[in-house]
Amino acid sequence: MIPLVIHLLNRRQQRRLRFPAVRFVLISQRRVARTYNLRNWLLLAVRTLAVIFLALLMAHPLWETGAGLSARGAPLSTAIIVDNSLSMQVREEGAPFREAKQAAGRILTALGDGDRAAVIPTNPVGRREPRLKDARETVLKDLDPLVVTAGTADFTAALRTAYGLLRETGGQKALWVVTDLGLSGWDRLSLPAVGEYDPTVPVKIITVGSSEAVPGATIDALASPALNIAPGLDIGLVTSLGASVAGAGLPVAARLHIDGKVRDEKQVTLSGDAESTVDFQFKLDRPGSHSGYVSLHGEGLSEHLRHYFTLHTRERLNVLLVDGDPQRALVASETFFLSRALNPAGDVANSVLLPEVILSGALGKVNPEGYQALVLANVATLPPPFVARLAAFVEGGGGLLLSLGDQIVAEDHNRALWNNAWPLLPGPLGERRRVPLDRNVTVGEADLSHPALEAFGDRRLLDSLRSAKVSSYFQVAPVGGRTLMRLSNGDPLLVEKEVGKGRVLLWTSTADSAWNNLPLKTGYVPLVQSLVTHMAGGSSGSIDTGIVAGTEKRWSTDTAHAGKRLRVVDPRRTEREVTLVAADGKASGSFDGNHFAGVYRVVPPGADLDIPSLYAVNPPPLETRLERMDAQELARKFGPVEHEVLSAGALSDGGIRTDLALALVVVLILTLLFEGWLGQRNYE
Amino acid sequence: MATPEQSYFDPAVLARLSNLHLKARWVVEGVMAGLHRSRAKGFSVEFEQHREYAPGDEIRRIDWKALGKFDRYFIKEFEDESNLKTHLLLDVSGSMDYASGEVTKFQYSCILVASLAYLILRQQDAAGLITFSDRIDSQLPPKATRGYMVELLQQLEGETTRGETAVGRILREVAGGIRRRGLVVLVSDLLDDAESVLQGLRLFRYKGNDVLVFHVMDEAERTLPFSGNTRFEDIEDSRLRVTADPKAIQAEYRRVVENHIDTLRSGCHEYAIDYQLVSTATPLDQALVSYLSWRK
Repeated sequence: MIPLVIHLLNRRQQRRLRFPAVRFVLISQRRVARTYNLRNWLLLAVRTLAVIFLALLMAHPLWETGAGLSARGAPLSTAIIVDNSLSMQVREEGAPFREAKQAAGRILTALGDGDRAAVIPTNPVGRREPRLKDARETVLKDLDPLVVTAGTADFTAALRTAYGLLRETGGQKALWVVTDLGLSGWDRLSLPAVGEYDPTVPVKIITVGSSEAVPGATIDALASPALNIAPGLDIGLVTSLGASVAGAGLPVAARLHIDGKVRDEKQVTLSGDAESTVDFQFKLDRPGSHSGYVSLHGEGLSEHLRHYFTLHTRERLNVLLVDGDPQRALVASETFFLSRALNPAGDVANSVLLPEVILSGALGKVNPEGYQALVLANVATLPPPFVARLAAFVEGGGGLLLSLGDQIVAEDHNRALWNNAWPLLPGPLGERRRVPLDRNVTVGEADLSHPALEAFGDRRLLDSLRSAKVSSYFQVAPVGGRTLMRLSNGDPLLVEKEVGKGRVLLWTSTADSAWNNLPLKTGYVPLVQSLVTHMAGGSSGSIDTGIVAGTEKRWSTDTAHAGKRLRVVDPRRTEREVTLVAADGKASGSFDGNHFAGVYRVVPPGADLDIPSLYAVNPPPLETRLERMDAQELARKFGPVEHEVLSAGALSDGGIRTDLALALVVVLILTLLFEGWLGQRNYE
Repeated sequence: MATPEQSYFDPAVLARLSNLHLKARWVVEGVMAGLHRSRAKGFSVEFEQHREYAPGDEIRRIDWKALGKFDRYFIKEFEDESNLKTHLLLDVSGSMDYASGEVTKFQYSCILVASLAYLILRQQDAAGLITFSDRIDSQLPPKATRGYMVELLQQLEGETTRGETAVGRILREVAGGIRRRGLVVLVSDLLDDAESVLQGLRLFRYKGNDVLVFHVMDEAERTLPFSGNTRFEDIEDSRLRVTADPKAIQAEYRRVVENHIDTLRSGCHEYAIDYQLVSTATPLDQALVSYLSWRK
């Protein structure tokens, strides 16, 4: 187009001349027209060729035979991106990664003197920045320690690094990517996000591994429906499985490993359309931290299909229920509902919460230290020595739940628990309020952000709580406490106060059905269990399904621990230290070296630092689906960047890469000379 | 640099003179001076010739002195007695108003015609003037009086170029109006169909006239020395235009022009018409010498 425009512009630049012998010009013009036109077209063609040659010259053309490993001409700068994502290990038992290292080695060994190269992993481990190096041996040393990580390949970052390195050099440039073309990494490639790229540097993609589809499976999620995770309790673990197209219909064995032992095994057929689920059941025989993983085994599946998790359990909780208003009818008793809620089956052997009921008259002999939580239900009289022990118990980390009732006299209670040296109440009690029969007061708003009420994020449970009617309650004016639940009229129903290391919860109505019908609601049991567990020191035990490889692990704890150092040990037993720093009223720290799947151990500097000692790191589920990027989509991703997909076998043919710049310069000069000669001929 | 003699006839120098009479006189006197210096050229307007007496000749014309010397009767003949009538035909069509240099073909032709008239009248021949384009614009009949020169020059000085060229047709028209034999001098760029021009010239010859053709051309008309894409617009007919690369057609153009000239030259030669191709860069004496050669 450009030469045509130049040609036409040239023709348009004409001057006017008044001339007497135009008839002779006309005759001459007609006679030479045929020859002139032919030459003109030839001239246009030659000029077009010249522009094409010039454009080719600017595009740094190369002539290659085979894979073009050996370079002729100017010194060559080579960036080799090696895919070290998990799929390179999962597919064909690591054959792709072995091939990738061999392929990169071939490219490196084909370099000549004066050539430079850099090896760039898609998933860098460590903080060393890749750079172009002269010595081939040095680069080979960079290649040897390269290992597969559990993450997804980040080609965007790798290309950004590669273009950045090549931008700093002159001469010939080459960019190789050795990969299994795993879909999970390539589909995240964004050329605009690469930033400044050079479309004239050809990208050669060397594919490794079998080109045929191999079965892939994923362990998408783990979840436990267990309310309590504690030693001796049955714990369920629901595992969701997925499969690639090639893996659909494949029968597999799913195994549950806890603390290095196989604890359960289930057979399941993978589905390509929907998730398959496997339900495991197991028990833990000791409290503390545990680790485990679910693995899949089937024909053609990798042995690396694992999903790690950690478990944290507490000792069973002893809860003392003090009944301040015992009744002859069991169901009329305060503690009947509480004890049934804490251990619904009455199974002392298997319950994590072990309630013990005493009457208020026995308070003088009670030593709270043998319990993790105390519940004073409608207890009117509190002997001062007991109150002193109670205060010490709470300050030491114990939990206290106070429920009220008809035995309570506000002034007496305030005297015993508010207006003294140990103000355990969240605020002074006010008057008892009786809700008129024609008024309807129910449970109102609940602070679902509080750990004790997180379970009520389930709408059905919350609705169950809110449907409870309250006929009588004590008013309270919280001072420094946190209102966790309110009545529908806005008055506090549940207030928390932290005392020392412990907590006090005040329930302003009865714990039985005397002043409200909450004990008859579905939400009562989880509410009581959750409150007592929270009072007793937090979690009832938990399962942590871990973080995704390549992401940060963060910790946050009391600001008093700022400056302390954690030791993190990865599955390869490599240790690194993390220092907790003070920020936003907390001591926080993070660890970004989560490159490998497995269980990481966290060693705090002292026993007072309440941080889980284990956490799991898992690969992104899609990384093990083993689906490959198709050529069309790959071409769309690369857009204007010239790229070529070659098999690793093509490298064995070697081949020569020749810079055509000099040859093109010669051809261009010859073309221009011919153009000049032809143009001159037009005037003869 | 031109020598003093050359500058007499340099058309560019002459063109800068305002007085046509002066120009004509300058040219003619210069030519004559040159001829006197070089008798070898063998012509003098004062030359008289003798022939033997023939029955019927007037007795008073017998040269008695010659009888005394040679004992034979000779009759004495004088130039003015030839009583030559010369028709100067000047082309004033639009195409004559072209100059690639300083002098237009029209300016050159006017000086040439004026010089010829001066020369003719100086030899006591009769000179008349016809100017034409695509029609006869003016006509002064041939007269031999010296005072007629003023009239001729006034006519020439009043002329401007106009109209289109139609040499062939005009020649035929003029030829029809000339009753007595004489000399017809055509000064034109002859940008007309060569055959048509020759046809007109032949008519003069059929009537017994001698014909002298001055084909006036600008050098650029012959060589087309331009370059770069050019839109050529005809001076006479603005509808006639063509865009061409002069370099590309130059060779062919020259062939076409030379062919035109050759046609005219050979056509004239065939009918004993004296054809002179003069460039506006040609010194005027050379043109006059052509005339004088014929007159000889």
